[in-house]
Amino acid sequence: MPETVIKVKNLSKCYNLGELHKQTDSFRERVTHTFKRLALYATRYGFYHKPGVERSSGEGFIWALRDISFEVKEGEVLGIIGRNGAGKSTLLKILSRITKPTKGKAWINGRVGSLLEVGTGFHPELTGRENIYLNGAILGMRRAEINKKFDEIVAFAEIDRFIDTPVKRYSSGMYVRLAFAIAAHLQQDILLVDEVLAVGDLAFQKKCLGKIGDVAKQGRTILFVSHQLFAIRTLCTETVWLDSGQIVKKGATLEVVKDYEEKVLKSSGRSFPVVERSARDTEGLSFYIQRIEMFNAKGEHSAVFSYNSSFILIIHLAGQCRTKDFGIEFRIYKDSGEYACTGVSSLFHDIYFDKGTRRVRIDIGPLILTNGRYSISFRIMTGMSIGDVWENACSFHIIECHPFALRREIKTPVCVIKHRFSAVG
Amino acid sequence: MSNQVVIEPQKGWFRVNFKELFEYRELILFLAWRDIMVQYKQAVFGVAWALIKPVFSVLVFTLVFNKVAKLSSGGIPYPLFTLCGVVAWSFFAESLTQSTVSLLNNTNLVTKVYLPRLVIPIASLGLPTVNFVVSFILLVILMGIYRYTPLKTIIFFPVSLTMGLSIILGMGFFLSALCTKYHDIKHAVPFIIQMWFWITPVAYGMENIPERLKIIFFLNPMTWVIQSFRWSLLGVGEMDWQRCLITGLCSMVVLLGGLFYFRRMEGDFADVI
Repeated sequence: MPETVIKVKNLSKCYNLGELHKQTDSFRERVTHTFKRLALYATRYGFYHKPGVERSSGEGFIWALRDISFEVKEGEVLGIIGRNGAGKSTLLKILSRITKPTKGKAWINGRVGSLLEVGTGFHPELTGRENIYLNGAILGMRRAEINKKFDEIVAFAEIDRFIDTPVKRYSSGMYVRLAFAIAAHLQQDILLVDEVLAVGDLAFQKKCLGKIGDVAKQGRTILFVSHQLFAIRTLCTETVWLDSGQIVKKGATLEVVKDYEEKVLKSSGRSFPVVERSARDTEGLSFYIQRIEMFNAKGEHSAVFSYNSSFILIIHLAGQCRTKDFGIEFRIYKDSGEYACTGVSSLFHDIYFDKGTRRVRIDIGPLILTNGRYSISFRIMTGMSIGDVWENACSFHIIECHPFALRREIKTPVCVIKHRFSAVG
Repeated sequence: MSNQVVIEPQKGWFRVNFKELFEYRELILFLAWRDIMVQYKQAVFGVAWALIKPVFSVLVFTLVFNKVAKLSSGGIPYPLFTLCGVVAWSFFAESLTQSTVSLLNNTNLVTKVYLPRLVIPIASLGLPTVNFVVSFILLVILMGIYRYTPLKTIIFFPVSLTMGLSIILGMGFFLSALCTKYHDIKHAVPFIIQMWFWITPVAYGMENIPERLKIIFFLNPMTWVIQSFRWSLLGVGEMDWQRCLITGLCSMVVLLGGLFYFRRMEGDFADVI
């Protein structure tokens, strides 16, 4: 039974808005504020009257965290997700003792290393070598530890030729690589990591992710904040979803991330289950697609589908078809631009719709597409020509594609095809 | 497990974790070393600047105070007398300037990592200390040239140094903490130090001060730090034991007061800086 290494109980943090907008809280402001208060008292006792001076209400406070409680066991990799301002960073800041909670308590067993930023304390005038020692010490490494890890760090950062050059002469890529390399070699029992993967080029990000994965395998405890859900899926066993300073859900990563994605995608407004063309879009067209509706397998309007599920498209047509029948084609593109798949009624299925048809249903699935946003374009084929083209008519999201195929990969494939392995000899 | 950390809202008045501070001694040295390296990198004269500054100050002070204003120096060669004051005063002035802005200049250390915050103002004294040691060597050389051998009064030297350091640390803690909230402090401090210089007997002896103005000097704790520093090394100048004792007590109050204020505000640094 692994021990509990982090225990958080009813943790709350309240910010004074004045503190958040620190620029307004200078000494001069404080002096004028004092005078305003004096004026207020004077007004109250009838000595002085000035309109517009009011007692500040209790609105100047914001709860960045509210009654957060959870536990982390030894060796667990806990992901923390949520929108901007949900309180993720505040939570890490409290756990790394950078700021104090307003209420509540937390217990941590073991040496804590916090990576809220890479390259903290780097000085541009110092050389790579000097910065390794300085930054290592700031992150809590002992000199002997740094000596031991020094060659490894340099090799990981791929900067051996420039180790004695001041870092101000480094390219930004080298700078970030060095900074991350030091952080990646921390030896603490518990690591608090905030969004540090979002740096460097793709190849290096991949390497970093691998390194964190290795650290996790050594049985150390990690709290990992990220917006990159694939990273959370790859690394974390358990995930906490925060919103407005409160825990929305905590549990197995795949489940929490799925709910989160669904919620975020629904509220983001980028995908609508029903799309309609305006009169301006269809001006001059004789026969065209007016409206598209998307349904999930249960028959509800939806634009978010799970991997391996299926969905239904209803196409509403308008105008006058000049030929006796027509065909419909759809093309699906991934957000990144890849042409993922297609379907054509006439060529694939030898289906021709009568010119009086007003609604067409397309069943698509099972969806073997990987996570992400996809857009659909439509064409009407009338006889040998193209009757109407509607590019990027609607879009949908795929969630819950199991990340087994994506492990340590930044670049994901478009689909994970149905397959089966078996030993045959 | 042995090293359990408990995180809770700030309470208690005055708890300085000296054990933890000691564990971070390596970091204090690293940060001090960084300041020193950075200061003298890409500078042709390098550490020689620590010599150039006091030498030129002494030359100018000798010209202005001794030759033009004809102020006396307690019967010993004026350059030696002034250098002694300049060495001590520069240490005080530089330390105060550095420590005041220390938290502000290391904002990312305050907001992105955990370390006992006291480490930062303490480490900021590294550069002034190096400059002090270098200029002190110059002072010793000058003493040799003028054939001044240390007297018995030298045993008072550590006391004088302790008083000075206490005032520096106390004020440094107080001002650096205050500076996180009110950035005005960083503009005010150099100015205050400049004014302070004129009412401290750095470049002239106490005997030049008219009796009725002496009260200003007696109220200034730095007067007796400088006086005792010079007296312990060269054996000249007025020594008032009673006032020196008061200065000693005063410096302790400043140190504890600064420490207290720093600890009190520490929890908010990351939020207000």
